[in-house]
Amino acid sequence: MGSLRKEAAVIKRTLLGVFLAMVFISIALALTDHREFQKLEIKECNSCHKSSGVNQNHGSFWVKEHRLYAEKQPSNCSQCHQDSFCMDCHKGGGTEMSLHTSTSGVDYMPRSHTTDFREIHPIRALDDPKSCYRCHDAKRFCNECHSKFNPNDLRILSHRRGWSDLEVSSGGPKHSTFNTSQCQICHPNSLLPKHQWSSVHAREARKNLPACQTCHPDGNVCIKCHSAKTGLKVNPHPRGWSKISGRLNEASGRRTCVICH
Amino acid sequence: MSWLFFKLWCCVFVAFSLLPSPLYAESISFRSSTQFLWGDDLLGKSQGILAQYVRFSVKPEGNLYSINGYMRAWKDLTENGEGVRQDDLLGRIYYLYLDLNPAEGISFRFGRHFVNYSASPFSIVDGLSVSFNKIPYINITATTGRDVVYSLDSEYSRDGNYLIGVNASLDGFPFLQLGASYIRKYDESEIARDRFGFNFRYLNSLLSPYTEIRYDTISQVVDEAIAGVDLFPIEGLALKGEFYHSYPIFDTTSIYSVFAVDRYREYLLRADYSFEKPVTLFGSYVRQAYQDGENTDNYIIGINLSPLKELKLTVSTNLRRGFGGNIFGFEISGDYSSGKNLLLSAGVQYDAYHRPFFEHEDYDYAHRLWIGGRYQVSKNASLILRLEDNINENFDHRPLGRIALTWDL
Repeated sequence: MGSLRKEAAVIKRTLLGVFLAMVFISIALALTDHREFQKLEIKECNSCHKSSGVNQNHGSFWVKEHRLYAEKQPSNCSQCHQDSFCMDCHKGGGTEMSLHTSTSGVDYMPRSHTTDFREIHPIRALDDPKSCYRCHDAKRFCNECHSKFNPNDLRILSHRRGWSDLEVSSGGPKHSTFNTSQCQICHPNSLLPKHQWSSVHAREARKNLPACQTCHPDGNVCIKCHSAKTGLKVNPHPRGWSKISGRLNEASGRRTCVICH
Repeated sequence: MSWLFFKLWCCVFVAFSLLPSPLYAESISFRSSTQFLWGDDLLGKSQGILAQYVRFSVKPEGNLYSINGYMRAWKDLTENGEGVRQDDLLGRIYYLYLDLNPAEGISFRFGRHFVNYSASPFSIVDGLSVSFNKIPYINITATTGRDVVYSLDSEYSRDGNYLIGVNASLDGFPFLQLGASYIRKYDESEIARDRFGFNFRYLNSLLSPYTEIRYDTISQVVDEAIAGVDLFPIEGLALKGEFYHSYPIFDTTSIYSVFAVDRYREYLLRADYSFEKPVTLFGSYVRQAYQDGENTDNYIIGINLSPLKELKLTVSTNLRRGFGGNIFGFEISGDYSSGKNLLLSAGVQYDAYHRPFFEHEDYDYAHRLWIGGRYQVSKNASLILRLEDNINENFDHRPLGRIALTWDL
């Protein structure tokens, strides 16, 4: 019994010692100012990190990994980089950009924007739909550029044959010849035939809805079918809408819901 | 709007400059970069842009403040008027702020600056941030100001577009990153976003787990979440496993906020192995998954080589197959230092891609070839020249070039 107590006391003392050592090392290392190491090679930094028990960083994928480190407050980044370093990559600035960096107009582009990015960016935008909007505002930045192009050049899969081109029956008039007050005549209760344009459009929209903003910043085109006042009156809301609609209506000053209701 | 603010901030800068004792400043850094960029834009319209960057930092000796600024002005001299970008004389202020440290443990930042809270990373504000760290091991920062959003050539902001935020972090423990934050953004004085953020990382030379979570209180969903672990089992080897979740959220004032959307997830594995000089191998695999089972596989492998002390080479290739299109691409680039004053660089990029809406089954191709050099004219001045050619579906040749003279004080 006595030996057990002794062992427990030793374990307690050891744990306390380890804890105190960690605290002291932490505080000592907290005083490390990285400014004096600014000009070291990354490999040399990581050698010191290893011996200090801190993990290495700035590896081959650092551009994709730095976000969480940069959120540390106060941040170590500013000990080696000025704020402009962040701005150059995120907001197109160009005082420190490397020779590897290409440009679009006056703006410098990160190296992720390879070759013909005009053609490739719609695919890349689906590799994490939020990635574009970490630097660009969909409604303003993207739309300002898209609005300069012929809309037919920008069409995505669902838009290649829109509802306006569909004939109401074989050889009949196209949908574009009708106005929104006539939708309910053929589609009472928003009923649509299956396997039509609507399902492809819904699938694309749900996966990358911010992309819709890049050409339709105010969403007026959506309201043609999704308004509860006129047109097809298709309900666009997600499941559980009743639980959040009140808060959204309140937050927006009751100005969003009245667009359709 | 942008030009108005540019002038306004110039006035603020002059006012700051009149504060006492800049003449015997302990630390003044100043960089000017004058650049000329030419070539065709994405519509094929020729452009010839003259741009001037200025960046400075002034920390007067014996005073408790510093002033930092970074801005640019530019003009497309071709004046074709039909290109992608505007050809007026334009300006952009990236930041211009006064840091004030009136007492130990409290500091103020006033002016245009960015804040990087986990609730809303990289927000730019015209306003005030106050940092307070008088409580042991806790750093608290609060921010309020006008929410600044850059459009293509200018700025977009309406009356009543502002943000408030607060961040609390553990400070003084280099092995532990722990922070929580809250941001509320207003659009024309209505609440547009309301989010909490949380970040955590344990820094250790063998194993480093981490997580980051953003929660939208209006939609009551986890807007974004990351959870992962970095492993460093042997010298030179870094491994990563990560899970990422995201769900699109819109301003409440946007009609898009009422639409149903799908969540997106990623399952990622990465490896980076540095041999004893001169070789580093790296690779990654990402499984991208949408809610209803549409998936994408994304692979990257590459190598960094340094066969000579003066020469660094990178070769990498990537393959993407799945929802939204396929891409196969590679990149080869290199840097060669000739003496202390000259750096020569060159590279080639190639992408073959296919999007579902193509009427043809074949892939399209795009190349980019570039060459550039930096010459250190003197201790404080350098000259850069870079030439690039793009060959793709839209252009037989789309040359781009830039020349930049940069000098530091």
